[in-house]
Amino acid sequence: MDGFAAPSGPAVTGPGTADLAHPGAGQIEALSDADLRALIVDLTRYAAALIRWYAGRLPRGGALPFGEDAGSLAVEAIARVLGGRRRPWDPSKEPSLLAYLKSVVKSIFTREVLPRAKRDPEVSGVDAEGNDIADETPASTPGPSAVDAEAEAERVKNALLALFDVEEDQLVLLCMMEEQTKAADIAATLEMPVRDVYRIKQKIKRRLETWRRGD
Amino acid sequence: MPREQNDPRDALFERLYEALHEDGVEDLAEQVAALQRQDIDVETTIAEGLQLFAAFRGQQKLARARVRVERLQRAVQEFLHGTSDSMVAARQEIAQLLAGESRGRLYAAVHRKLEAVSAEDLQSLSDDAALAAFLERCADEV
Repeated sequence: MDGFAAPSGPAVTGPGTADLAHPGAGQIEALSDADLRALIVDLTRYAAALIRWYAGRLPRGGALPFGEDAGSLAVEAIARVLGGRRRPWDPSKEPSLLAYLKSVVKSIFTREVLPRAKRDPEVSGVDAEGNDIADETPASTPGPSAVDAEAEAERVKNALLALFDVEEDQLVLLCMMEEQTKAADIAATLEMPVRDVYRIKQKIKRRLETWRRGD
Repeated sequence: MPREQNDPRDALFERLYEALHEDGVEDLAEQVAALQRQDIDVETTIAEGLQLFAAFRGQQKLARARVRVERLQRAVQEFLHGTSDSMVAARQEIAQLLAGESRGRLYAAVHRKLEAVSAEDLQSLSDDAALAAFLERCADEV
């Protein structure tokens, strides 16, 4: 597949099937343009974070093949859900449309984009005329075992912690990586004011915006 | 938030992401600016996304209108072939179908007009153009 197809309109639903085809249609239609803008930006931000996280597995310094980016990934997910090329959103199963779209983004990225990126030959240098030289070594290697995955997760945690010099920043980050996501919970654990936790979270977020795994 | 049960690296990503975006009340302009700093064409993404949602809304309205017309045609045929329990009940159902989601003045106007419609005229409402004209006359009364 050469990149995603251009965003297409939703598939025509047959007569009498509107609600059955899209159980969440009513809620989607009730969203204002402002709501939709916020949702699209949120989804794009998630896609961008996902791409940065997997940057180490992507050739070309983390760039996606075929000119794709976080924006095109987000739009593709929306197109597939609304256009019937994916299971439609069912609020009774997943109350949040944004959460459902994020799962579709992740699925497209991990099952289509990443494997496609790995099949592309890696650039290993340039020749005398400035053209890319393809690395002919096979891109596919056996996937990591569960033990390897755990070990790599630990390495990533350590790499992230090493980005911060201040102990309380590291402690907040550690809490977030160890299942505590709410500022109030982290504040209680660390016996810090909640506003300080929010401040540190913003600091961590800004730093991670420019971090790619493998840096 | 999607959960990856099997891969601890993915689970770590999801936990971190959820923790860092806990509030969901960040300023939209700041979020857009952050994405633009990463060379993402946010405005094009938003425009394409909005276009998809607008097309979806249009498709859903069309699908609902089709359903309504089909039910209306069935109701008219049932009435004309004597399978409706009563003329009154048939007019009520047809008025509901014609008024769509409205239950107020449009419904009342449609119902009033139907009281003056003969069985033969009612049959003609199964024609889309005649139906549209009938509804327009009702809407003018509202």
